[in-house]
Amino acid sequence: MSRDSAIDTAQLHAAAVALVLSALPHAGQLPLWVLMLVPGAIALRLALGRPPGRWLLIGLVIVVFAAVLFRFRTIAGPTAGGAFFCAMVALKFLESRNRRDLGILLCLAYFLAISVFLNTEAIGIAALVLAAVLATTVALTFVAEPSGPPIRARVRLSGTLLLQAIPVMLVLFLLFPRLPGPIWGLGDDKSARTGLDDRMSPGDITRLTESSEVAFRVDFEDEPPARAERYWRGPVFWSYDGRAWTKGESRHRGLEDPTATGRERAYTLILEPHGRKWLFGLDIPVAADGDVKRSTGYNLVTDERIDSVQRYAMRSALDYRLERELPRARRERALDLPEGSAPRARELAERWRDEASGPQGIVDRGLAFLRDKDFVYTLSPDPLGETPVDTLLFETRTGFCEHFASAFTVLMRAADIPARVVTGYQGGEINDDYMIVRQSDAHAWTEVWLPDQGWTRVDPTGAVSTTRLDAGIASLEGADSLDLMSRRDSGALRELGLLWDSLNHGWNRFVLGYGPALQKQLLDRLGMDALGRWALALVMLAAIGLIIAAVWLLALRPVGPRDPVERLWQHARQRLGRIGLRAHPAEGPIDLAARVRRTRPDVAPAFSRIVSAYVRLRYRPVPRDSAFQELRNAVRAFRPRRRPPRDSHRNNDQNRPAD
Amino acid sequence: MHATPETGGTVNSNGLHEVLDRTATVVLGKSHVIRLALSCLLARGHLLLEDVPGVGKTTLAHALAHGLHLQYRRIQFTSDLLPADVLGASIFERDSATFRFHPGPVFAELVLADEINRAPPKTQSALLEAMEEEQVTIEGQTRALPDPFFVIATQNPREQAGTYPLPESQLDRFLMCLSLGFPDRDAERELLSGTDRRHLIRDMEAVLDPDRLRELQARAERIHVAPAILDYVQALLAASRDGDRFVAGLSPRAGLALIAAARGWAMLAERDYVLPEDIQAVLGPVVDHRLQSLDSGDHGTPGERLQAGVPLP
Repeated sequence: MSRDSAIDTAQLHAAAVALVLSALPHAGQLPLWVLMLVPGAIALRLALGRPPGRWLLIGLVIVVFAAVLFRFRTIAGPTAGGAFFCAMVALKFLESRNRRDLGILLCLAYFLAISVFLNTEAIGIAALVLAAVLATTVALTFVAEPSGPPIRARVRLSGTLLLQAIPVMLVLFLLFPRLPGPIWGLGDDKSARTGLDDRMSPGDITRLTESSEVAFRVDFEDEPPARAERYWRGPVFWSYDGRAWTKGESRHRGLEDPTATGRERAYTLILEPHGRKWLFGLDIPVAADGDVKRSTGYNLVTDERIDSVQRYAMRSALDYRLERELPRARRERALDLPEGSAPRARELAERWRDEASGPQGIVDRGLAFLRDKDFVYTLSPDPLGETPVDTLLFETRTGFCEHFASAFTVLMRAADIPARVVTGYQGGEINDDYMIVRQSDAHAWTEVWLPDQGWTRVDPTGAVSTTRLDAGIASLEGADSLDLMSRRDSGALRELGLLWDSLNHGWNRFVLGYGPALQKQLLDRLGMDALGRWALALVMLAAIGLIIAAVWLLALRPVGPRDPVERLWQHARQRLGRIGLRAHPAEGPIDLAARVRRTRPDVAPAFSRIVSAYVRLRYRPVPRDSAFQELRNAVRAFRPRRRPPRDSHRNNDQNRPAD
Repeated sequence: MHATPETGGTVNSNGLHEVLDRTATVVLGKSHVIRLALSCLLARGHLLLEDVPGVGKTTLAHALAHGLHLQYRRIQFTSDLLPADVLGASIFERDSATFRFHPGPVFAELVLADEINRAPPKTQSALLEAMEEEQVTIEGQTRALPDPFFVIATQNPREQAGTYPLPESQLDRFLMCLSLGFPDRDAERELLSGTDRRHLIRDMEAVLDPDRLRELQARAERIHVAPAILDYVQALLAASRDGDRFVAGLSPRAGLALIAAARGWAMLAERDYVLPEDIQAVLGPVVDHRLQSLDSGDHGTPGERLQAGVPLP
């Protein structure tokens, strides 16, 4: 027997299906040309009917290696490594000769399928990976048993195998030591991710609103705040260069805690990965669990870049006092304006300062200016040119939130009021019992420092367009260009989208959000909080061992008879047992019937019917008559009463039916 | 209403029931043993009756022979009985000046070998070989025994003096080993008050004839044995072999005997298929003389213990 003949067509086809399904989740993650190598290799192998020659294979490997290197400049990292791996698996299919090769290929297919989780952990991808794992298992049954059962039986077998793996999966999921931070430390640049940036220049947030991608989702412990109060604090910008805002230095020595003057809200925030080192909190966040710090702008930052779904338990105060004493250094930074920028705005602000009575008066004058001078809040503002603040305030008068926030902050600083720009999200949509905050809810506003009150939020956008804060982005002029999910008009498609989001939320909350913090909580509850990582691993292995032992014992336990006739007969005997007539295992049917007739004559006729049909089926030659039907009906109808009817001993001979 | 199959037949069309009834009027209070003996006959097996003298062993054999209209010969085994006395011998006849074979008493359709354990082993073997092979070879000539050929051997319990107990290998030749036992009180009363049993036998009319019996034996062989019954028999055999209950387990021949006897029993019950109850009914008579318990502390006969220990498959 030659080595090639060890693979038959069915095995090859099954492996091909498994491989295609394993590569499928990578669509959208890996370049198309890499993915196309898989069907290409399959087509070539099937067309040839045998593996190609050695030199062709070596040539292909070199070409693929060079192509990956050329495209990514590396073969490490999730994307480049994934592409290289995918291409090599495709070539492995091409050269598969015997069953051993196919076995290896299918193990690689498992790995190929799950490797997509290095790039994305979305629920849809998980479903695709599950399909791929199933198909690969089916293909493995072809390798193990070439001339086995039909495909449906194989799928059922594989499904059973996967179901049996669920307990082990749960133990691994719950107990595998969770490490903070991403698994993949090599770090591809994730600059392509949508989200707020660490600088803000005109048009940045406007662009962001075109995306309906979810920024984060929130579970409130009680009622969610009113729409106008849904300010989600993100990066705070101090430093202005005449056009763009940046963070400036962020030393925060002596930063005092915010003083809550009202009730605090507790909630869980499930943050989508955005590749930055900050998170968002309802204005103003007072506490957050985990590895979270407070920056000078009272916004929350993390040590690690957020590259996977994260879950934070947080508390926020909606009524608060922030930094009533402003240190000199920070005051200077909050008043700093670059030389020569926005001369007309400065002139205006200085006039306000002279005329108004105190800082609050100046702020009111500023807001009145925006409200009264026919400013237009729009998603498609006119271009602002070199001096954006002056152009906005005195010429185009059209802008989006970042334009107004920027201009207002400049005005305040020019009027000697410490001010800074706060970016984040404003709004959020309630879906069932949680809130979705999308990129289209991105917002920017101003914070001014007032004596006695400390930092106070002033949203100039509210002065220009009252509806923005009450009704959200969708109420806006030019909202037609918004993504479906950000618009307000409800339709079946949008409803479906919300349903899908709800599913995603559950996935994020319970699967992806299960990180070190939640694991610690669980272990605390299980009383295993004192265990170190290694002890935990041991506990996990022990649990898996127990599960396997339990499954083993379960498989060895005596099962009932497979023969339907015997099963029915056993039912009948069990029912007899319930009325105290326990059949001896060695007691024949006729003897049993005789005993029933002696001890419980009321039951005997019904039982005799069963015995008659059973004997015919079991001991008579060729019982191909209605006996089985009779047996089934008789057993179904057999409901003996626990106690004989009172007069049973008197009409023993009448053969009355038991029921 | 479906008829429930019964262990005991009610209507008898082939005369067997009548044989049973008539024999029972002679051998009082022993209808179960008679039924077993008839099953043994239908299964073409030979019967060993083991009991003390005077309980009706000879009467039973005689009655069966009469009822079935079988040619009946009785051999009284004694310690000086020779094989030729059983099988027959060639004797020189002066008239024709030739040796002529004089068939022994074994050339009968129903042979009663009375007190077989009184004869020396050589004579016992002569009979048992004839039973096994259904033919007799003397001086190089093979002579077939009649068909039907049914041996009822009786023996006294081994404890009695002056006996040569049959070895296990010889016991295996008997399909069944039965014991009549003392009659119960009523039967004994009737026996004591009634006429001589021998007169009754002489007055008994034949119900069947050898041809009819052969036909019935052939029919019994065709009685259906379902796979479930074979499973059960195999389970019984296996149970007799493993463990430390018996000196040696049952042989495959014992299994065949069990099935054949159960077929006979089923035929008497007017059924054309074997039930587990049939196996159980013949289990004791078929296996008790083939099995030797290891520990005497156990209660019950080997057959009873096997039946209780093996669940129906």
